[in-house]
Amino acid sequence: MIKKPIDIVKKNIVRFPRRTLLLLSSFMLTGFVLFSSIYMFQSVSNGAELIEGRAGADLIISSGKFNPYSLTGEKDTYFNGKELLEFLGKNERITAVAPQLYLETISTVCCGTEGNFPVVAIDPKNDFTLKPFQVLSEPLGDKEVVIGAKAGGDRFIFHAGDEQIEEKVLLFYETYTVKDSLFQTGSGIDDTIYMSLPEAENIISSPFYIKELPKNPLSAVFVQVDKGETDKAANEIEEKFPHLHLQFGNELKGNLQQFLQPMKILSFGVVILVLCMNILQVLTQFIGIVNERKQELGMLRVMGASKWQVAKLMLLEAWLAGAGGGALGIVLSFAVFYDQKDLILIVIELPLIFPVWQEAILYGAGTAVFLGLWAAGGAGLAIRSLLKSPPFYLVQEGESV
Amino acid sequence: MIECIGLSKIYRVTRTKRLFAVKSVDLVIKENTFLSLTGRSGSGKSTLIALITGMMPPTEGEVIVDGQKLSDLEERGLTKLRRGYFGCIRQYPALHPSLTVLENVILPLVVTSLFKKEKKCAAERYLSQVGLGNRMDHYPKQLSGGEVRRAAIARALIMEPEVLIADEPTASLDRESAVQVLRLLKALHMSGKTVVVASHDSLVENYATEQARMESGKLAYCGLTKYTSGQNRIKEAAESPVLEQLSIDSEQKSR
Ligand SMILES: Nc1ncnc2c1ncn2[C@@H]1O[C@H](COP(=O)(O)OP(=O)(O)OP(=O)(O)O)[C@@H](O)[C@H]1O
Ligand SMILES: [Mg+2]
Repeated sequence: MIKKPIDIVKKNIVRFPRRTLLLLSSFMLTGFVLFSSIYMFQSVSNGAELIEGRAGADLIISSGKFNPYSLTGEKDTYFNGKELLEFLGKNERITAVAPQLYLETISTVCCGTEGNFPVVAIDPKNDFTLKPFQVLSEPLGDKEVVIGAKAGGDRFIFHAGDEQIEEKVLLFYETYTVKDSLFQTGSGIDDTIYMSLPEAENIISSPFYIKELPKNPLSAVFVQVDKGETDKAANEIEEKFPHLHLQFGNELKGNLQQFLQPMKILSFGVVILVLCMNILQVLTQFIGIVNERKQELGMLRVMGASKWQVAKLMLLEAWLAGAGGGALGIVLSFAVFYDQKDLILIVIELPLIFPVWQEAILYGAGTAVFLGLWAAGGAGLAIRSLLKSPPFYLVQEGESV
Repeated sequence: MIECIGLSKIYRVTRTKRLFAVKSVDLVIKENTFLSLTGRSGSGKSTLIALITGMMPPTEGEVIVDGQKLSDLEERGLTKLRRGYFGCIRQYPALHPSLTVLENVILPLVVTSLFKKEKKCAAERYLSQVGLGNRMDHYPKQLSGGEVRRAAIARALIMEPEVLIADEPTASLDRESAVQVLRLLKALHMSGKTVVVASHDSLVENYATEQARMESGKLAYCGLTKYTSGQNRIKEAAESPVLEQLSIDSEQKSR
């Protein structure tokens, strides 16, 4: 039993099940693409933000010129880091300190990838430079390594987290277990193999390691400083350690942003394109529907329904199709993201941070409502000219039939 | 009372060709008349009805409904007129195909957001009056042509209009069904409504109190029907079961 205008709409929808299905499917696809793009876009942004906010070092200290693109010190410049680390640890402006030691570039095979890979040691406890890129985010232990995307990481990622499969790599006559891999960053991180500093000490003291190193050797120290204090901290360090070289980290951040830019532009473009395609489709469909129901709509006008009351029926129907179909697509998209997270990470090969579920629901609801309004807008355009003509012309056409 | 003064409608057929569908029609429809509007196909009956009910503006002339010029009314006023004053019964589309017969009857209320629970009983009553009491949850395509037409009459009644206007209510109906529909309209006329019926079937004239004949857009004849004086036919109509129901109904109302 109908009571409100919406009940008429429901009955209309049920009357044309096949067309309703088609309409819903079309909006489902649009919803799927739209939500996926937004979700992806947001994940990439989140990833970039994290890198900027946490991973980006404000200062990089080394003894020679440091190459920000390779993220590793110039190969053979070392310094005794004991005093420096003590000083940095005491300085209140400094919030995080991540020392690194470059050991050697080794020609080896890692996870089926052959190449020359720099081996770098990090402090697993304090390091912040790798965390945002880590696939599994697990800390490094003894006899374990983390590998960059191009040092076998892009293969490792396929079974990351699978306890059954263990990948080993031979370094300095020792076997190491691959614990984790890193997302592609577009920097020197990508072909580097990382191990822990205590592990590096063992290697240095072994007879196989022939390079002469100073005591407590380090090749670079990455430092994060309180906001706005970078210049002061840099001055203090320079004063105390005039022989060390200081570099500001901004360059690095810009580099990463640049790397992510095409990705952002692409998802934005896809969204615009899909919406354009969709509005054409909506218009075509609704112009068809409206013409088909011309007499029906005219009949309502003859009964005393105002233009708006007639339009409302069509708009409601479009809204339901748009929001309903869109919602289906969004749920589907979310399910794919949830279920195929690993696969997506492999394909994209970028540090992605998926939005938290509350945020995801918000985006989903927003997208669905938007699609509903979008559809209603299309229907409104379709019905506009029809409502302009006097009611008689609408009902007249069917007369002779 | 409805007055038409010098009413004309010219349709634009092509860029240069115009068609006089209604030509300077002067017509007065008083309260509680049963007017039959007859004429050959294409003589302009539907056009005249559309002009009278404000469903399109005339090219020339004026329609005055209860002292109100239609040309002075805005869209809102015309909508109100269609909603409350006129009850239109059209040949096509008579009913909304998505809705059951009962839902069709309350449709004018629902679509204008005026529906209340009590109205459902009224709708059921009207449907029994037109003899469709047992077909209420049927869909239009499950009804015969005559039944559809009667359901449309029930729907026109739900808004309690002053004037019932039917365009070809008997078209494509067999004689018996046509008579049924006309008797129903006659009964409504007897219960106090003004009724206007446009039809190319002169059968209508047997039920009307006044008749107007159209010939290629012009009013060829206008006046009382012979029926108005012939009392036997009123008797025939009065004996129809539908009318009895209606008169009982109006008695109950007046009590
Ligand atoms: N929209 C229109 N555009 C142009 N000409 C029209 C239009 N509507 C009707 N006509 C013409 O106007 C004339 C009157 O039409 P109308 O429908 O009023 O006739 P009618 O008496 O109702 O005929 P019928 O008995 O067949 O329903 C006809 O010649 C018709 O062809
Ligand atoms: Mg006609």
